[in-house]
Amino acid sequence: MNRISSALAQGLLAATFAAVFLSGAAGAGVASAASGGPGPVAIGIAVPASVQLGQVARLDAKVVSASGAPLANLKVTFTSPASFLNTSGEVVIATATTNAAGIAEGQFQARRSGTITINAAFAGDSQHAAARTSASLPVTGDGQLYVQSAGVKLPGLNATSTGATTNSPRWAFSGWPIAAVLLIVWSLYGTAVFFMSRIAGASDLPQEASK
Amino acid sequence: MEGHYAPQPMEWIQVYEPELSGGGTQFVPTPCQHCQNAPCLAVCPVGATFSTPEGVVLIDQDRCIGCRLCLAACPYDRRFFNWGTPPQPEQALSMHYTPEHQTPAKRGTVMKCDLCPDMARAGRLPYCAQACPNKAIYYGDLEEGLASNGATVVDIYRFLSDNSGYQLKPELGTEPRVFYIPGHGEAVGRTPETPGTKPVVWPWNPVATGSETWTR
Amino acid sequence: MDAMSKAQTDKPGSPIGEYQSAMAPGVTPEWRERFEGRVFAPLAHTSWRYWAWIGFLVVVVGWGLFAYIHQLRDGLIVTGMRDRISWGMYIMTFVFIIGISHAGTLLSAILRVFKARWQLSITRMAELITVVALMVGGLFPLIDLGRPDRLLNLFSEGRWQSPLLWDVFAVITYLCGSTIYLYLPLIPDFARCRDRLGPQSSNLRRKFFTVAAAGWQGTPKQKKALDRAMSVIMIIIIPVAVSVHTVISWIFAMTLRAPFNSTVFGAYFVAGAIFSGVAAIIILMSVLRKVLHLEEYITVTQYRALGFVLAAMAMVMIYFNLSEYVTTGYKLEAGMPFHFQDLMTGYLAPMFWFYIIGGLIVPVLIIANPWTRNTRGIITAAVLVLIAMFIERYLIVVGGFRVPLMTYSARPYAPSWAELSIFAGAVGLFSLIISVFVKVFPVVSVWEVVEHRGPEAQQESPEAVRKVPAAVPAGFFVPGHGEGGE
Repeated sequence: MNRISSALAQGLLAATFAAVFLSGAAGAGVASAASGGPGPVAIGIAVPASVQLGQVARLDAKVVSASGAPLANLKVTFTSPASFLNTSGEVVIATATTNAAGIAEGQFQARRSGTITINAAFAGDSQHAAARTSASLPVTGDGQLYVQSAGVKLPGLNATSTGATTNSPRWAFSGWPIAAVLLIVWSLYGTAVFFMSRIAGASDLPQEASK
Repeated sequence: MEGHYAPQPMEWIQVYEPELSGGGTQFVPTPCQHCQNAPCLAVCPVGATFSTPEGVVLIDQDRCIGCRLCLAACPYDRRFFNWGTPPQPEQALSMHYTPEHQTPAKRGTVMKCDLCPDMARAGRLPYCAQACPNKAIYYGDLEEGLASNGATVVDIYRFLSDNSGYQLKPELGTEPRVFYIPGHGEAVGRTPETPGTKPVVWPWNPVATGSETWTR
Repeated sequence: MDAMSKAQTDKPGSPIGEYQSAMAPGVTPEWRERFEGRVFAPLAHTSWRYWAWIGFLVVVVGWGLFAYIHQLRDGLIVTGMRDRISWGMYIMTFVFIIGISHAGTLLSAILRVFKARWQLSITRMAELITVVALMVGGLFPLIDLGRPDRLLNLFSEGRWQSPLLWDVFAVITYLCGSTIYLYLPLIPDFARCRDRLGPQSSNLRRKFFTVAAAGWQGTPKQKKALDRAMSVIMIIIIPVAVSVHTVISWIFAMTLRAPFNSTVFGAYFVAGAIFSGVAAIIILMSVLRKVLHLEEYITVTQYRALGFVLAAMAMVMIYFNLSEYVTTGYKLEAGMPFHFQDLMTGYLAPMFWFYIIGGLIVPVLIIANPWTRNTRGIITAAVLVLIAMFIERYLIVVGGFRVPLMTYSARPYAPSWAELSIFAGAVGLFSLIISVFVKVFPVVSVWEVVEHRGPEAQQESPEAVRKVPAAVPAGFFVPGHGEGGE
């Protein structure tokens, strides 16, 4: 399985297809006898050598006929076995149609770290037999991918200028503004009560009525 | 409702039957949307409604003062109030209360779908997903990107994109965590004109004495 | 000009430290005697009718309390509220009564800032309404709680971000400010009571007035302090009052429901509060004027002025209603078609049209028309307005909750006997507290009328003035300077 990879500017890793894909024919599905049924095909898959968690990897599957001629307009389904809670199965991660060069291109964002098995399958039609192959994709790294997207992000207030949010609320979103308003109002009340006490203080009357 | 003994008449997941533009109806099973920008969370005066780090919105019935500001705020009609003493079976009354399963229910507090976090921790699907006979409900993790309905596992993002998934009332900005794949039951042979929902049953109601139900 | 008086502490019962304040033009000592006699009369003399009235109110309040205890025992299921219409009579009454409380701020603060002298004879009643309304109205969110036993959670676990907590702080702050503002102008009147108490008065009463008067003698220093205190409170109470009804509107406007989701709610509620508050003043002033024989001092001048304020506020309300309904009706976004049909031709239609026609249009017509712009007409307008504003709260709360959020049919709402009883109990409590206060301090601000207003020029009829019964029985007041009175 070829894993020549070259990094592109956007971090999209792609594989080149210089090498042979026909080794994938080992996983080819049932090729019927040459009695006029669907002709045998071979499918090969190229995945990047490794990928970081969260990066989008480009998957390429090439479908060729038995003679090596590329087959166009065939639907290729990329799947990966996964389990969630107590159910497991093949999860469809991308679908694509082969172009003139016989290459179907899919994109896959790795969201689990570890080694992921990627399968590429062609279901077969009246002229072509089904074919299937697989590859391993190591995913490294950790971290949270899913970002809650609620609220307004203001750089300097609750987000950095690159868009990442910080968890700690800045003072503007906390209770400080309300506390400040209440402080102002109640100290004005206190001022009024202070003046009121000046009334009593300026009096030269006895406070108790004499009996 | 079976597992967390939602008292009658609360339907924590309720199947609404809106009309389709060309005639006929579709079914929209609507649990609490566990919004990312939950209005109920914003208005609670005592913080009884809170969200877990996983994003599940829960209610602490020990803190709730019953002001019902959250019922006013929820745009999806997904919150319920215990107006009277709620009907609960024996096994519910003797359970140790946590917000994750909300049993036993307490009078004068608010309740809603809790997304069954206790089930997820035990490695099982929520009760509604388990109960659905057509496996129409998937429960998943937006971080891993996988969801399951008990029979198959799907990649959430691909599943939603390929099937034109949508949310309810997205223009309100609540950013719900519940997504819908459009349809009217065609995969199980239903046409839009096929009549609909069966009445909801709360099996423990007759055995819950000393309580009363009410109409919503 | 003030005369400073010396304190005389020798004989009990003799006027001690009596101060003589400046008098407005037209005030003669005889007029002043008669005025004080009339206003202080309730403090001196209590008839059996008063006790019967208090007894009746106590029964009403007791019935309301009984209904609340029933609710505490059985839960909120005794009300007519349910999940779809989860706020009803209690929140309606809360908004309504707190709205009435804005009366005091309008008259006592705003009009005082503009030095409108005609309102001096009713300023104390206005402030009284404010304080009592805040006390009684502030009970309703508590009555509405499903778990009032957890009330303290509001303070121990309170969240700044919640509109309900803003409400709590706003109402408490407004109540304290209004109490200070009620008390400050009472000081010189308490001093007058203290000074003119006759020898037959009880010592308790004497002690009360002495303490309450805070040693007032009318010295320039004290006047300056009182002026300063009143200026501070007068200025700050206006934004506090505006903020109170604004944050009350925000318990609705901070939700995403169709009729509530409006940015104009704050201003609309404040306008509605002032509107209903003016109506409440007119009604209370009419009742007290009749019962306490104050027709000479609260005359058609006050009615006309308040009538114009009422009409002006009615036009403001018409503007706000037009603003809301025209904009939402033009666009008819989700939920609004139902709301319009509900309001104008459906379930809420009778109430809605009574509110618009009886509460907004008819009062304007009554006051615009010179033939109805008299005491009786303005009282009618005020009664219509008060009823219509209560209905308006119903239209906001229940009308808002009636709009279905999802695919279900709209539910009806009718208050249960428990809700109606508690409402009646609250109205009874309101009247009870006011009736008690009528016996504790004079309901007209005597010193302000004497110093700044003087006799009312327009009297309704001289006969009305003359046929009032004799004033204060001897023993309460020692005759002051210049004999006179009836």
